[in-house]
Amino acid sequence: MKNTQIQQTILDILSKIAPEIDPATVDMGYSIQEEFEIDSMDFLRVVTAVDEIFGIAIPESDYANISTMDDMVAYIEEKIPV
Amino acid sequence: MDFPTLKKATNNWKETPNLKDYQKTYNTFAWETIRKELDGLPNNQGLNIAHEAVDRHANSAQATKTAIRWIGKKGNKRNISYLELKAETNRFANVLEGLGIQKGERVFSLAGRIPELYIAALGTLKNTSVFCPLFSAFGPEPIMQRLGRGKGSVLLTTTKLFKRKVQALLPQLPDLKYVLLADATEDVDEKVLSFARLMAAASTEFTIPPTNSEDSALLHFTSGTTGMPKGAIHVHNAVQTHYMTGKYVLDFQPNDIFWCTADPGWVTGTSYGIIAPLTHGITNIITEAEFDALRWFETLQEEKVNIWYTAPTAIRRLMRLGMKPKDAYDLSHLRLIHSVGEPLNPEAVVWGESALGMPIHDNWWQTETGGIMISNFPDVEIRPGSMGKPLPGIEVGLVQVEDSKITKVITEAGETGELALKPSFPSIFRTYLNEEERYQKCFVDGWYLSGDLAKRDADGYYWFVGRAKEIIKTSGHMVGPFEVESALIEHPAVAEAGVIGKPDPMAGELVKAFVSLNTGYEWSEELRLELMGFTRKKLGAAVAPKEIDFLEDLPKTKSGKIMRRLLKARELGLPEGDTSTLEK
Repeated sequence: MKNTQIQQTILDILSKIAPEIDPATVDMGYSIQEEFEIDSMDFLRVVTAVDEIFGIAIPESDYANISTMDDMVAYIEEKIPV
Repeated sequence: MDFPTLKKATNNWKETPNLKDYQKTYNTFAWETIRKELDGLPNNQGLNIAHEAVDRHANSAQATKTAIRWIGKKGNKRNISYLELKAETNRFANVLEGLGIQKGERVFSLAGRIPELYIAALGTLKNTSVFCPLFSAFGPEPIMQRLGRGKGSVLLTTTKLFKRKVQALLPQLPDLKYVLLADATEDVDEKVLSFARLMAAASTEFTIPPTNSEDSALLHFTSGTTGMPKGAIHVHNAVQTHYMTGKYVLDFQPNDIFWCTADPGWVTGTSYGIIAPLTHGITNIITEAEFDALRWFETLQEEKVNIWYTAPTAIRRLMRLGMKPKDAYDLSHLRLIHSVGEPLNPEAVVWGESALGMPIHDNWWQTETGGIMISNFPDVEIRPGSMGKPLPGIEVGLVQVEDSKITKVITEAGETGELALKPSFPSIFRTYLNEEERYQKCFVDGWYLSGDLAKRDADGYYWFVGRAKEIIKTSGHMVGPFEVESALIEHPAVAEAGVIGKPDPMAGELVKAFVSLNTGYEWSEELRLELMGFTRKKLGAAVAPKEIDFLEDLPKTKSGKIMRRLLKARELGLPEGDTSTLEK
């Protein structure tokens, strides 16, 4: 899967949690929580959805490595089964 | 499942606890003794929280000791000694005085956990103005409600938060005289000023004016089931409770390093994230970053934290790691862990013992009580799932109330009643700002009614049963359903809205809304998302509903009041109970 597809999938998840945020205004190298103005419970929902869609299990201990969009995309790309 | 009582090993304390004999201390306690352990202002000029928290230590042999160790988002650190904290808070008091801010005027903050917030809080108290912290994740509507109702004269915030959430509200906030931007180097205009510029120009000398212990000090907004948020006013005398609970519950010893993870936007983050540890002259850790499981354990290890005060939502997240932190990190300095925000499930109490090397102590209190009221203690055995026993100086009862009268004060073990307190302790709130009638309603026949239901076992331990009111507790924070419903019905599509707390394994409860629609609108996924975005923009992520569902009609009483209780029962598939007042 291409990076752009992964990113789009995550944006789709976020569009259901923070539908008023326009992704075009978001800095992908910055904290997802801050850029999308979501709280830690929302972030947990994003991760749960990512787990389900991509079929990977992201442990809580890795959350610090997926805090920005760019980091999350790179993390998923590495983890998804080829 | 019943969890066995957790005994305490009384012969190998790292530090002998301040409270060694609970019953004896409870029976012989006198507030006068606590008052004598505080200084009071020089020359009998009264009692001021900031003097007890800062100046008395800055004027002592421990002036150079670190009062606040601040850890920024990127791991950068700033140590502020008691002497520096005195100088900085003096500067801020002078800034306020220079701006003409008088005794009793309200100074608000809307910021993350940055050093300026803490300096402003204590400087405001020195100026005998009233400090009111707001949670930075609030959206414009909750900010507007609180700043407007609290008639804030000054707001400390950051450029980003100001532009995003406050600037557009200014025309509706006629009482707001100044906005101070913590990160601006230059003034924006005559009203929006640079905090740094003002501070640099202010003197480090300031004499706290005479302060009556009954003078207002803190304003904390809390959510109700009906109406908009209530502003609970606390007075300087509350410092006695802050100090006493620091001594007996958090067991502060002179060389302790303490970390309270709460944000000052909620009462725990002010009473215990600012005031209590400083009144004991210990080192207070403040972390700017949000929750991060591994980083939290690193902080406990690196900062050699002795006493840790956190919340059930965070503890449950830490449990998910599936690791034994005591084996992976050096937690040898840790002596005591406390939790507050909502009842801590017994599994988490017991997990503490196996994973962290000690059980987690739950406690209970409210915004209105200003400090911890019922708690587990270092030297008292824990019954997992129980909130513990009343603090010395706090008289707790379980009562039955009908028609605004106490019909029974429960003496039998195991019987459920509303948790009530004799309001004779220093930190009980003195009013709801501009809502005296609402305040008076909290007191019946000499008891303060908490709105929580509990029972007491034969040995005096209290157990949370439920809430008498429909208030929502999400991630330890109170959300008033009315505030959320009010935002929803401002959308042209929404006819009626009912908001409940939906049980959630991690957050305790999630805010869930049900709406019915006006004629001409049809329910669709697009509309659901539009309403989600609409409420998030108004309320912010901390308050906005996480789920919105459509109902043709909301269940209402014959008088037209939406029955949230019934919405919740239906959502959970529970019996609907008494529906005799339901509109057919």
